[in-house]
Amino acid sequence: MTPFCIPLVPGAPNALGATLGQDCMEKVLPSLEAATDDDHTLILDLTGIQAVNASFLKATVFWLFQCGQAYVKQQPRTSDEHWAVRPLRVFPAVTGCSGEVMSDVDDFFSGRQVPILHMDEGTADRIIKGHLLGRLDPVLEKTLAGLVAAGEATAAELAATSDDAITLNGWNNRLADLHLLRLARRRRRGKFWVYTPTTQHISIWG
Amino acid sequence: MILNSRNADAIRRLVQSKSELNAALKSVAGFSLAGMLELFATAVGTADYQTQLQQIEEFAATRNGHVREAWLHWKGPAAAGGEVDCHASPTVEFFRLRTREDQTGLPYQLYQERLVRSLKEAEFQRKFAEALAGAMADMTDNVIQHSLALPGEFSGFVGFHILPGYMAFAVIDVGRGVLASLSRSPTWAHLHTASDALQAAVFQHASSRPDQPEGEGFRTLFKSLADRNCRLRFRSDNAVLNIEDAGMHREAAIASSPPLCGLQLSVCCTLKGRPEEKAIDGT
Repeated sequence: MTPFCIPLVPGAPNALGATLGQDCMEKVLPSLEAATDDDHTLILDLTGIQAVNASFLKATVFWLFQCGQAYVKQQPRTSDEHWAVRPLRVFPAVTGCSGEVMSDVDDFFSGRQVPILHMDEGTADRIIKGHLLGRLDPVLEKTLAGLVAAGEATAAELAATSDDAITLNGWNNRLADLHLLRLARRRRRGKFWVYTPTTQHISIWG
Repeated sequence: MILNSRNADAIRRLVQSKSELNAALKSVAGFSLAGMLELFATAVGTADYQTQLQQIEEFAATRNGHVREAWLHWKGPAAAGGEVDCHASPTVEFFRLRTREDQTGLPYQLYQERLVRSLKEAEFQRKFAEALAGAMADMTDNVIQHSLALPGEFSGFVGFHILPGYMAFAVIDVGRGVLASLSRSPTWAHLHTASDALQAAVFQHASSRPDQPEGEGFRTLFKSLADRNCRLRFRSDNAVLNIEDAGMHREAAIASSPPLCGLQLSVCCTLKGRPEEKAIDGT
């Protein structure tokens, strides 16, 4: 499994409105829908963007976030609408946000009580360093920090490195939540899930 | 008489009663942006009253100044922007939306930038100016997302009017309107009147997307204009919703309006005093 990144670039200084967002997504959607055997990281590149709004984010990274969650939950495509949420093996992220745009992205995801990864450093096929915008439960934040420190881990391996008095099932749930929130990938190893953070180094913004 | 949005309602009532319009139109001494654009929407969107509509068309086409300019933009074959000085800071400017590219392309991006520049010259703070331009862009985005194209093209038109300490923008279309749009969504299919649909869209952020029952456009509009001494008007089918900043709270009034398809909305805002529509042309 080789995760790969597809950059999304708005192509306009003001990333406003769902229409622009959909046009941006249209360019990558065919390859995204065709590749069903692998995870994708889609990074919305907001470098040079002066303004972004909720409609644009909802049509791009948040739509991808919902599609990624639909894949995890094994939910079918919701309707025949062109932009209906459908299951996709996708891990969305943003990059290149300036101060005000960073605040706007943070506000958007905080308002929905979910996190989004901002890539600070990366290569063509992976995110090396990032920070979180939006909101992540403190317990999951701590779990993610443990996973990042471990590089990859099963629930049992993570439990062995922690003093937290929770059951193995609890660790499994936390890691599954990180996967649902698109912050950790997972693959099968025997009867266990092995989790890998979507970035090798992570911090919390603000 | 200044033809503001309220008087545009009265003109449309005359159209629909098949009354003679010339006398009323002759009494028009000036136009507010919202009134003018609603008059245009009346001329384009109510096709059953040919004589009356022809009177409006002739009136608009022969009028000098911004009315004629706007009418030619609205009806002409080419998109707006061809003769525009990209780096100017105009006090009045129009843009029409017929295709998705009109919403996403560089000409409209530059139009938004000119609005921000004009607002800053009119004493508006940069952040507020950018928020207003963003709100306007979200409203025109709704035309593309929700109004449904007439055969082959959309029917959107937007304009702004800036004076020192004052701004107005208006976005109109003659598409399917809010009620028909929301009826596509299972979440909002229970709405049966234009009045209920308009209130759901504005206050509950109702959206026609089945996956996303709440939209962002009106939420952004209110966030941008909150406590900013603004007046908003939303008109669709046979309902009109007026919202005004009243100091510590907002006052909203829903009323009936002579029927017209599509959605016509306008915003006016003053840095001082009560927000009232001001004339863009007085002749």
